[in-house]
Amino acid sequence: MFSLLSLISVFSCQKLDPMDPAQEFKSIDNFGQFVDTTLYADSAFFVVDPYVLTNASEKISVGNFKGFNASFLIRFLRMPSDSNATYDSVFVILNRRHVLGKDADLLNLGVSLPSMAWSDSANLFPEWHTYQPEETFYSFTVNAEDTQTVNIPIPVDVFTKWVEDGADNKGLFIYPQDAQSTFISEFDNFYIEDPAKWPKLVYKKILPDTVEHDTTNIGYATTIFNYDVEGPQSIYTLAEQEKELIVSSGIGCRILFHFGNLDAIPERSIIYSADVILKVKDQDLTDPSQPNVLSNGDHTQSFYLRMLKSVDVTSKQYEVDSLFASSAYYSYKLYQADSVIHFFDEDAQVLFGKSYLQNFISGRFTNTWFLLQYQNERMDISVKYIESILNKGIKIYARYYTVKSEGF
Amino acid sequence: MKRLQTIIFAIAVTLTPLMAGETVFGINDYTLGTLENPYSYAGLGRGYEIGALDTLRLNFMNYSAWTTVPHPTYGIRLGYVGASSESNTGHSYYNDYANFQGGFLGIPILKKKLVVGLGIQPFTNVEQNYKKQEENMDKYVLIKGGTSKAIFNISYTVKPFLRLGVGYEYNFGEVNRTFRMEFAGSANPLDFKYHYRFYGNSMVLSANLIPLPKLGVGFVFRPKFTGRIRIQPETNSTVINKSQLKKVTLPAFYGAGFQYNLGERTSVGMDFVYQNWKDEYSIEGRTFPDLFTNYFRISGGIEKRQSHKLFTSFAEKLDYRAGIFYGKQNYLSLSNNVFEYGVSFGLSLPITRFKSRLDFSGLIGRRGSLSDNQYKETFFMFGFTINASELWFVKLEK
Repeated sequence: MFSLLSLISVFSCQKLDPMDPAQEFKSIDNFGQFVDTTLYADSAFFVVDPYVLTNASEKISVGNFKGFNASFLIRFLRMPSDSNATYDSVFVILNRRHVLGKDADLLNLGVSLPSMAWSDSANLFPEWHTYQPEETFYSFTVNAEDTQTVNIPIPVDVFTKWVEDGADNKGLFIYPQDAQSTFISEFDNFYIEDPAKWPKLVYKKILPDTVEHDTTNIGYATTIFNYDVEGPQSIYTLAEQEKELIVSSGIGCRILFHFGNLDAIPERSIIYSADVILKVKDQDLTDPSQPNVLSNGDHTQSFYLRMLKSVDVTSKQYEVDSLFASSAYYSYKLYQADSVIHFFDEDAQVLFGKSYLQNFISGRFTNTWFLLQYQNERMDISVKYIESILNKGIKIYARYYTVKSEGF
Repeated sequence: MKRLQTIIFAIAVTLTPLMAGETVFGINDYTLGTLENPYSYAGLGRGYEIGALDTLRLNFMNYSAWTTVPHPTYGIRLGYVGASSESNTGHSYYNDYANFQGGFLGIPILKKKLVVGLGIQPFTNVEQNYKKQEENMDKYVLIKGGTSKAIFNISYTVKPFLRLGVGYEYNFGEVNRTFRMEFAGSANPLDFKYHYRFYGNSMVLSANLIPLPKLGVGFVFRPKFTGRIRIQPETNSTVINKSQLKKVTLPAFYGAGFQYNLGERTSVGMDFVYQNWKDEYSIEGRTFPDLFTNYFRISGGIEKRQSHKLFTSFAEKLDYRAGIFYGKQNYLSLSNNVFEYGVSFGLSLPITRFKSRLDFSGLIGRRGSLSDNQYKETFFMFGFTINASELWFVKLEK
């Protein structure tokens, strides 16, 4: 009998095609309704962090453009260990990637030996932002239009010293020789996927019996970015005066914005999706008739959206809520598409609505301050101007279902 | 005892698919499912049950008759229901399901005098998937679930012509509404679900009289009772998800019937059941006269029982039954009553050696009309009931 009943229970199923609702079942319409709403940020400012960590970046930069200055340190770690070898024809080869600034101009660069030991977090240390190279052993000029690799000849005595120092060698400091130039040249760093484009050190090793050509591409490099953030002509100074908003990489600049009206969404709502939208102004800050040339076209147009635990508007001190920085589920990325930065696809909008806004409406989260920053602040110089909140430049577009009746 | 455990476990397993729909009718904003008042289970084909004294099977409709059970007896019913429907918009639908439809166990304490019984029986069920198309969105609501009664009953023979039963019933079940909104061009529907969990205590009183040698009369009465519905949303909102408890009152059940024996092997009979859903079904004291109405069913039929002669043809060893029924459903459709009618038939195959029998039954009927209601449907049912009577608790001499 048990077997029979079990068989019946497994067999028990039915075909259930959707049918027209019974007219007495009004809940299909009356249970609730969808509402689309737009909420605008009511407060916003930006915070500049001039010293960002530039280690493990995909690019290294050198040059000057619009007051932004970039130099980089590079070293190779694996040196030959033959005691009876001499060396010749030593070159550092860099792969050009992109130019920020004028695309038809020249840039004079100098190559020197760093006088201080350094690590790949050098951009965090003030001494590298005031560093003056002592001895330039090689100068060369790059043309913004060139796409070929740059070969930097390394004197044999310099290379021999590197061999003696092994992994502790100080490498090179490569910098713009002119105080002003019209572009920043960007090269591939060791941290891109294609090893063929990594910086290389090639040399000829002469042994008593043989001559060998060898190459190493194991090393690291880090860029030192400089900008007179507080100078009178600084874009940051001008933007603050004009109540404009800036987000930038290289010179880290983040936008903090506040929504004080999220509770306008009824408590008894099921959030379907929410999009955070920032309107990008493609205008030069001082000459609105010109486009924003500081927006780096080679920079992936992706940004982190963080929730802040605390914000002091006066001192511009803030603390990121660690939940939104460490959890993949609550990690939000915005992308620029056309003239707005927002959640690029519907899946991301649904996730943000479900994971943040729903929890805010339900009282689980209380964060009302948001932070926008470049996802990759370390990579290069790139600047975006965001429309002021006075012009409704930052908003949340939310779609939710408000439950009106619960049946019974 | 092991056998008892097996039976209980088997019933529990078969409860899983208990929730399914048999009709397009009966769904409104306050439904617990469509009523599953039995169409006279044990003798489904004959159209009457309340006044009958079945000696070999459990009577699922009138528990007072259980005292006629000589040995521990159990019965389990499985059924298949199909309904072909048509709506006033020209659409046609077909629903079917197979599931457990009730099971009982009666244990005589005092032979022919006192019997205690346990049972479980669905009394509502529903499963429908609604779809409504709007300009930029398709709305779906899947309504699924049902309720059952777990019954503990004591039946007692007061006099040879009078049997009484009193039972406790624990009513329980769950009806779910699963909502889905699909936006045009979107891969992300909005889904959420509401659970309506029902529970409550009630009682059932039953009586069986034999006022005349050939006449059996039965009564069943369940007073109206108030249970609870816990509304438990399952959404992304923790605010909405806070459950609520509401009082729900179910109407009293009145049943009466008779069986008249035309001869030793032939009987006719009639049942009448009634519930006042219009005035007595309420939630938090609010009735729904625009959705519910008074329910009744009147049914009757004839039965020709097996011959007890030792040497007779196989055909003479079977029970044959036929019946008709007419009733009004407890819900309104387009503000109008929904009537149903149909015929039933049945056949019993005795397994004398084991004091058991297999009942096969069928039914076909019509429900609703397109002139008055949103739908009309033709439904049919096939049932299979196992009744077994065995000797338990017998101490064997070694």
